[in-house]
Order: sequence, then C-alpha cells, then structure tokens
Amino acid sequence: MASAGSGDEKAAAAAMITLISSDNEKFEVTEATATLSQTIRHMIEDGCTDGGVPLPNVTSKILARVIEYCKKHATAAAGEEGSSSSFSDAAFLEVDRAFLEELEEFDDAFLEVDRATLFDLILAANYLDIKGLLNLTCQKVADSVKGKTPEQIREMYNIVNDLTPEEEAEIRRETQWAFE
Amino acid sequence: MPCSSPRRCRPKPAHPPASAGAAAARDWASLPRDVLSAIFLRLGPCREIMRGAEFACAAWRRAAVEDPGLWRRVDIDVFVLAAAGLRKGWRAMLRAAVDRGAGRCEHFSGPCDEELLLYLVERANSLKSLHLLCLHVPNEVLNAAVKKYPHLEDLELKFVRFPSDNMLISVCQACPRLKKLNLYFSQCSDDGQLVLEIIKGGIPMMSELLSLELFLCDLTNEGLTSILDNCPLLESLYITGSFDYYGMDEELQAKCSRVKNLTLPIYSING
Repeated sequence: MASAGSGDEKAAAAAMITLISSDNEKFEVTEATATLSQTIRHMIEDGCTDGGVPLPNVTSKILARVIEYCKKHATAAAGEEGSSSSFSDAAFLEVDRAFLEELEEFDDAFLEVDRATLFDLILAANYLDIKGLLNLTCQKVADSVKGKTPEQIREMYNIVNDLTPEEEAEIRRETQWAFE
Repeated sequence: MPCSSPRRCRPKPAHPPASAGAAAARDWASLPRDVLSAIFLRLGPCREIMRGAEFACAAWRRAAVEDPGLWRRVDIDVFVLAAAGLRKGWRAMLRAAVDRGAGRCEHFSGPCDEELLLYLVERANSLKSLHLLCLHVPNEVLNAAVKKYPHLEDLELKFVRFPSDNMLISVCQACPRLKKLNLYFSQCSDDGQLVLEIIKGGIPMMSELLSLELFLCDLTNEGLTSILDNCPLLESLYITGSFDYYGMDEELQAKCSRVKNLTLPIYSING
C-alpha cells in the first residue's frame, strides 16, 4: 500500500500493478503511475488488484497512450513533491521551470492525434478518472470548436443534426444573433 | 483476495466496451454528459456555447441547456456582439443564459437595459459579481437593483447617467461587502462648459474594498479624504476627470501615500 509522503517512496515505486486491456493485453506499471487514475487508486485501496486490473472499456492501443501520459505526469508529481519539501533555491526552481516546460511540450505532442483517438482518450480518461488527461483532452476539443458555426462543428465531428423542429424554433427565439 | 467492497471494485460500466478495430468514426453526440459539460466549460463564457456548440445536435443542446453549472458566469463582450452584427437578439440570449443558471448565476457581465436589469434582479439572486454596460437605465432603477445585492463583491457600472445623485455613496450603502468597485460616469456639456459628476464626502465605511476606480468625475479634496478614511484596505485607487492635484495639503498627501497604486487626475476643470 502506498503511503504518500512518509518516506516510503521506494517501496511505492517498486510496487507493480498489472492492467489488462479489453483485447487482453497486459501492461505492468508502477503504482505511482497507476494511481494517477482515481478509479485504479480506489481499487488498490480496496485490495482488488491481485491478478491484474481488467479494463474492458479500454483497448490496448489507447491504454498504451494513457500509460505513456501517466508515466510522464507521475514523474512530474514526484518531482514537485521533492522540490517543495527539500529544495527552494533559485537553481532548483530553474530546473523545475524547465521540467514544466518539458511537460507542456509533452502534452502538446501527446495531443497530436486523430479525432477517433482523441475521442477514445477522452472516454478512457473519464472512465479511469484521470483528471489531468481529461482536462487536456477536453480543452483540445473546446479549442477546436471555438469560433466555429454549428455546420462546421457537425462536419468536423461527424455529428448528425437531430434537433427537433421545436428545439430549432426555441434556439431561434433565444439566440437570433447566431443566424444573422 | 476477496473484495470487501464489490461496489468500488467493479469497473464503472460507463459505456459499452470499446471494440478494437472498429470503424474510425466515433459518435461525438454520445459523449457522457459530464464530459460534454467539461468541454463546454472550456469554451469560455456563454457566447461560444450559444453560438455554435449547442446547435450541433440534440444531445449537445441538452448538455448546454440543462447544466446550471455552465452558466455561473454569464459574460458577453459588447464588442463581440457588435462584431457579430447583433442588433436585437442579445436580450433574448442573455435572458436565456440567466434562466439556464437556474438562480445560481454568480457573475453577470454584459450590456443591460432597464428591462433586462429587472429580469436579472428577479432571476439571478446569487450574484457576487455584476458588470453592466448600462443602456439608458435610469439611475433610480440602478440604485434599486444594487440594493437587491447586499453581498456583491465586484461591481462595475458603465455609464452612469449625469447627474447621478451621489451614485457612489448609494452604491456603497447598498453593497458594503464590495472588494472592487468601478463607476464610469457620463459627462455633460453645459454651454460648452464641461460638467462632471462631483465626488464629495459622505462615503460609508467600506471595510473590504480593495480597488476603486471612478471615471470622469470632479473629485473634491473632501471626497478624496472621505474615500481614504473609509476604505482602510484600499490598495488601488484610479480616478480620472478633474481634481485640484496641487491643492492637496500634507495630511491628505500622507493619506494618499498609503495607497499602493494611486492615479489621480492632475488637471482641474475648476480653474
């Protein structure tokens, strides 16, 4: 069991968890990486991870990407803890800043995916309850939608307009400006 | 090891299993409601949602309309409205946004006429922050409106009609919890002579006010003294218009020096 911030970091880092994708591929990850997912954290706390954690909603392709994200961000979280407890000088802050920039670059590169992968990542982040990844992917969708007309959005995301005539009429009443 | 808590051990059945190798198309209309809310929240204050996203399909529409959490901030930039060529639709849109907040709207910022202000007062009673671009709103209506919000922390009124009948004082009396107050007064030209809102004394104690901005006013020494004496936490004071800057005595200068960010008019219209 991981005991946060009590010098047990080595033991926690050594503890491995097996995640099993929907297509039955097994992924060995450290507990520190796995617990970025609140869903998995709860399972570990409940002692339900022996024999691996089946994730029937996540394919191996997506799980590999999610783990890549969690590994990077788990290292970042560990780094942050270290810096706040024992270092505070300017040199260390400089390193910290560089690391944050690196993390930002990682996130940007991570989001260079097609829409189907983005969709799957969102669902996986939601299901596994990984706040940072959900924020990141939702922001990506929001940015892509900004300033777009309904038609452009439908085309971009392959959405069928299934609004009822009543809903259409209500929309026109509320927001005439959008159609001017 | 047997599970003591099967409820939490079972993975959430949030959606059907992903099928590997399925067609590339994904059904974006089927995103879980909380995910859609998270996306819409990141679109920024209401106009982006109400311009495109909520018309995409019925599911997105419902996600936008049925989550009051998305409408805690109703924020419409008047220049965006102008750029979008909006002439009449904005009232209906702001009313709809306020309604969707289901009384939980905390921040309202936008253009406002008398009718919309009365609507706001009636429907949005949890406001902490109110920024209005007043369009022909009589001062007595403004005064009556702010009285409904004694817990307001942030108030901006643009452009208060001249003369305002001491709007600064009445607003302070109505909203003693203000942390930030911006008042933009209108000016008046009388026979080619510029006439400004006169700021005299009589400011009530504003024990939480951190920032005060008054635009286009005729600040008197008495008025400035009253502001400085009754706003003990004031960090920022920004006043434009007219003031006898070089007529301050040492005592008033000393009081001014306690304000971290201070800008006062350096010209006086009173000669």
